[in-house]
Amino acid sequence: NFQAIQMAAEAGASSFMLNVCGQIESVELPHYDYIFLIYQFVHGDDWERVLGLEEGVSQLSSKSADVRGLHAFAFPVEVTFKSTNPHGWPQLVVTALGTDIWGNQVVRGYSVCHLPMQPGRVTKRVPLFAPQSSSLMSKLQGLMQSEHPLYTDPKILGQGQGRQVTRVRSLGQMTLNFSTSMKNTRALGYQLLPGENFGAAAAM
Amino acid sequence: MAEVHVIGQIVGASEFPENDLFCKWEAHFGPAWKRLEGEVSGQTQVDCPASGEMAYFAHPIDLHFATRGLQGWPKLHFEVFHYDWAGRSSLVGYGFAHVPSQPGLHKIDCVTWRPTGSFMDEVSSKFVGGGIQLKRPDLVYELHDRRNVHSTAGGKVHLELSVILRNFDKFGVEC
Repeated sequence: NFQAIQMAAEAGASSFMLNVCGQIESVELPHYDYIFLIYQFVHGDDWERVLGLEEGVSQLSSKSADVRGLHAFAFPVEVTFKSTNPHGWPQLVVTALGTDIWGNQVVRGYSVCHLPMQPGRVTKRVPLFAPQSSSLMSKLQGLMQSEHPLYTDPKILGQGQGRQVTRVRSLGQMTLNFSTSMKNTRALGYQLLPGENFGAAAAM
Repeated sequence: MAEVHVIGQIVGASEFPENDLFCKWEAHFGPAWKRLEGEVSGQTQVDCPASGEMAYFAHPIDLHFATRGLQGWPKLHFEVFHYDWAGRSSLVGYGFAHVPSQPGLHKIDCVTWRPTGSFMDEVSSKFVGGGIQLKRPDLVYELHDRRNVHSTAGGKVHLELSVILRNFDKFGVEC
């Protein structure tokens, strides 16, 4: 096992790959019916999407009539990235869209989460939140003119700067699952999980 | 050089007396550490939850350090503020958490406290709003003598952080 890592390192592997297969399982948005989702990836400059969609659009969902009031999507997310640096690890940004009483498309909520940083399978529950008008006046105006606050580019949710002036209302949850595998992270010296002390063997 | 990546989110805050909250955060580290990439501070969105008691920030943290030693391991410090209906902010909790030294995914609940004023301070804070703050916020995360500080518990800040280490094994360090 250690020889394989050493060979890969000597062969000059300079980049690693991240492969994620999963799905957006369901959304709980009790206030709203007729929802569809759009997902996008946000990542750093050292990352390159090798396989998979840049943007995915789901089906239109109606709430289940039972007490759960659930939107089930089972919407596949499959992507492979290549990178030289863990910084800028990809994030999945999801926009949940619906229709208001005037028939216009309106953002019902956003969610953002990192793709997993360890190999394995994981189920995540991620909150959904919607930006709010900054004042009561603009909120009333928005309701009248059917203009609801939204992010001009949802990718801002992947950044740490520029969100301090936004007021949001969290109003639901999204359940996702991911199965993750990596290639060459060990060859490049990265330790992603506890207990991987393969270097100690080299010293002996 | 050994490298550390800390990547994740400030997920949110809960168990505070009010739910309309935002959080300021900052990373601190010793002189043996050098920040290569990533922002060391930020301020989250203000969440006014529709229901439930958790305010969600979903604020990304992505830091890349290089280090020559274990001393001064990075820590993140938080200040949670309540944002009221009139748009004023008052401090409701100070807290800090060390970046975990073990690689992998970590879910961290960071406890917070707020300084307690005199009886008159507490009464006026209930009626007029606002709260007292520390003059020197580094008291929250540095090894200073705190014996003159009187505090009351605040709620919790929830973090989900993944740590990736590089070349630690080459230097014989076990995490």
